[in-house]
Amino acid sequence: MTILTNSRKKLDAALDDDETTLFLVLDDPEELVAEAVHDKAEEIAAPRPWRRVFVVTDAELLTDDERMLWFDEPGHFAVVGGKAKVVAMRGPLTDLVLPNGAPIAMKIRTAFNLGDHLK
Amino acid sequence: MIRLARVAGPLALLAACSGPERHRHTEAELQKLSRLERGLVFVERAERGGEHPISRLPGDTTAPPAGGTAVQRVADGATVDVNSRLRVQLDDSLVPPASRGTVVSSSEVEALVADAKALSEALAGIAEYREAEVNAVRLWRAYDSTRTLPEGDRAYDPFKAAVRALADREQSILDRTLRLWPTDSPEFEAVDAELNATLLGDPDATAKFARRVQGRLDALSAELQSFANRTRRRADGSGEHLRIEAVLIPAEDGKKATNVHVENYDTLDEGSVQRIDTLGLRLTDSERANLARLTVETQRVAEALRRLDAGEASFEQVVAELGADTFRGLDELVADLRALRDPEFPRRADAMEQAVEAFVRALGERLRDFADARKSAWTDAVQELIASSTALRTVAGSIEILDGLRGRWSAVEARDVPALAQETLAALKQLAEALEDAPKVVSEARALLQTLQRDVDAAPPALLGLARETWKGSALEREVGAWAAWFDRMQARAKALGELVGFARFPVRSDLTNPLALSVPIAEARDASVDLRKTPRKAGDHLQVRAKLLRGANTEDTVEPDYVVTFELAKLGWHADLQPSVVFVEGDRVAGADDSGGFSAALNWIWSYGPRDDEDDPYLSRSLDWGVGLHAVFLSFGPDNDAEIGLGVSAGLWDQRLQLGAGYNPLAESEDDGRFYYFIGSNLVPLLQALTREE
Repeated sequence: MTILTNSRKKLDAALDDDETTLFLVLDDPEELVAEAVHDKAEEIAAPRPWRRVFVVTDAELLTDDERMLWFDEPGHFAVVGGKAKVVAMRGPLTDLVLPNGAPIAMKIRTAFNLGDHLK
Repeated sequence: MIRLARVAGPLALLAACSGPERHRHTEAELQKLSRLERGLVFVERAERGGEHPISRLPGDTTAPPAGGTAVQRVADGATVDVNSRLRVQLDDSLVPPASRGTVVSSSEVEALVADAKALSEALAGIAEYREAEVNAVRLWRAYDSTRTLPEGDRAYDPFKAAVRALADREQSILDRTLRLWPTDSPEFEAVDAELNATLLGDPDATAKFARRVQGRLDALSAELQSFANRTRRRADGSGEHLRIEAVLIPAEDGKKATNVHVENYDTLDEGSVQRIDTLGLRLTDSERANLARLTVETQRVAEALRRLDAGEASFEQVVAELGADTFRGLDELVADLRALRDPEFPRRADAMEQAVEAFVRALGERLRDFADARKSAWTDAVQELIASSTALRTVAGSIEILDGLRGRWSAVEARDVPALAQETLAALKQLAEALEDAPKVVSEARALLQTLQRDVDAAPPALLGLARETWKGSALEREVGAWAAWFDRMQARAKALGELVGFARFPVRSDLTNPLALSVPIAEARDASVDLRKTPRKAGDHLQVRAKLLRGANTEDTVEPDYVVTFELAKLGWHADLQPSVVFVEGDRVAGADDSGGFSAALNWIWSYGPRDDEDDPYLSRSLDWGVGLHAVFLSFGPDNDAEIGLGVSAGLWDQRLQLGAGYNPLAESEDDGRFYYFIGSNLVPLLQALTREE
């Protein structure tokens, strides 16, 4: 997992790689679910080196297009993949957790699988 | 201004009514309810997601609160929003909870069994999944090590193909698991953890998850077997069945009622969503047609009143002009009532009895055995019809009162209008209440007609032609048809008059049945719902829900009388409507004219609040039923009488029965040319329609 605080160098490198599938989280300091979701996403991504997890803590690091295409607001996620890094799935992090806040592995895996499918 | 005040009297009289509150059961009444009345609970699901109980909710206690009386609202007569969804929940008293909410389609269970089997096989071959993952990682390394070299491109495609195949294999497992354990399943969290650990390569979790899948497969197989047993029972047709049908009854013509889809209870097309605009500007076809009709009739009313005001016509002439049906309708009602009292009734009864005799004789001459077998049943039915009709003769006493009032109306002076209107309203209300039994007579006459027709059609094939020939054009066919029409007409008139009088709410009913309705075994019945957004409705229409508790799948024999509930559709909450109205408009200053007032037609865009039945009286909307908005009105101030259009604001009470407005005439050349005006008015067209409506 890579946490972007003041530089987007690693994000740019991952975006430039043709084969990567990126699970992107726009952090929301007021939401506790973000940490649980990106920890679970990291666990799921670990055995497959083309999968990467990025947590963006500062939305200012993103371009306007990225903000528009990936996230509606803090506490949202997006999965992008393929050479063009097309969005395979996006939405609020709450879609990926149970009412008790536990992350749903099956849904995170589904999001990754959709991203892996993009050429 | 003085003339405005003079016009205000009759208008205010028309206005001073508001709808009665919906009935609630007392504890004593509650004990007498049928199973269907107790077992079906109606809930309105509003467009924005909120739920509003219409009748009692499951789980509500019927015990009276300390020091109070337990009451439960009666669903019949409730108002629901035009953009809502009506849910019919099955109470435990009707359907055992154990069988409700479970999967009821064997094909659904079959699909789940297939999922469980495929998942079980996938887990047995989880090693292949592991190998596919290892292979994808190997190909990624091959690509990663050559990506900057010319052969890098060649390594990309095999890598991507392996990744996609792996994703498909995994997704197949995920999808099946999610179908077997949806996210709201109590086991879901444990299932999610076990599967995730399985896919990450934990052998203990794999063994545990495989056992869980096998358990689910066993349970589903048992459920499938249970279905097979139930299907056999259903094929026998034994056991109680529930049928729920819904009918949309248009406000303007009850005969144009149509079946609407009830989820889980018929095979009608669902239809597509058509939302009714709360701003009242984007009209549906049905709303547009209604507005056009109201507008034309409003203009007619305004023109007739203008002639009355100018002394060009008498009051009676004007009312007659407003709808030729108005007085004809009253005349017919009076004539029909007179027939109940005069020798006309015995004459008709004799004619009916003679017609039966003649029919049986005519038929008997040709088909003796067939006629003899049915003669007794036919005669009994006719006698029953005549007996019910006789009971209605008591209402004939109203005839003198109505006759007298008609005479007084024909010579009425303007100052007598309020008092005479009040007396007429009271007399009509009394009459309408007295005629409440008319529907029974009409349905008996219709049933008799159907029985006779069916009996004739049931004649042995070799004799059918002769039987039909004898029936067709017989005096009996004519008499029964005339009898039904006679009472039907009285009922329709009484109902229309009843609606006019104090906005009395008469039950709206339709006999329409749905040939595509399903009879569902009571043990497998599920909640029903009607999505009003998918019906061609408009505010003012009615939705009738009829529930039947049948003795079996293949019979019309019912355990208890049908439970019929009718809902009025309305725009609830804040909303706006386009409404035409008749107004008496007067210019503030019109040079050269002693009197600049006159009747005209206005079109209003009115904002108001429709309270739900479970709300108290927010914004005084229930007691005053007020609204405010904008209007456009035709102006024709003397002395030039050029037709112009004024724009302004209006406010009304009691659903715009009484309306006040003021506005600005942009076409006026000066203030002395009637630049500012004010009016008093009413949307009395619906009232006149109620009087002239043919049901």
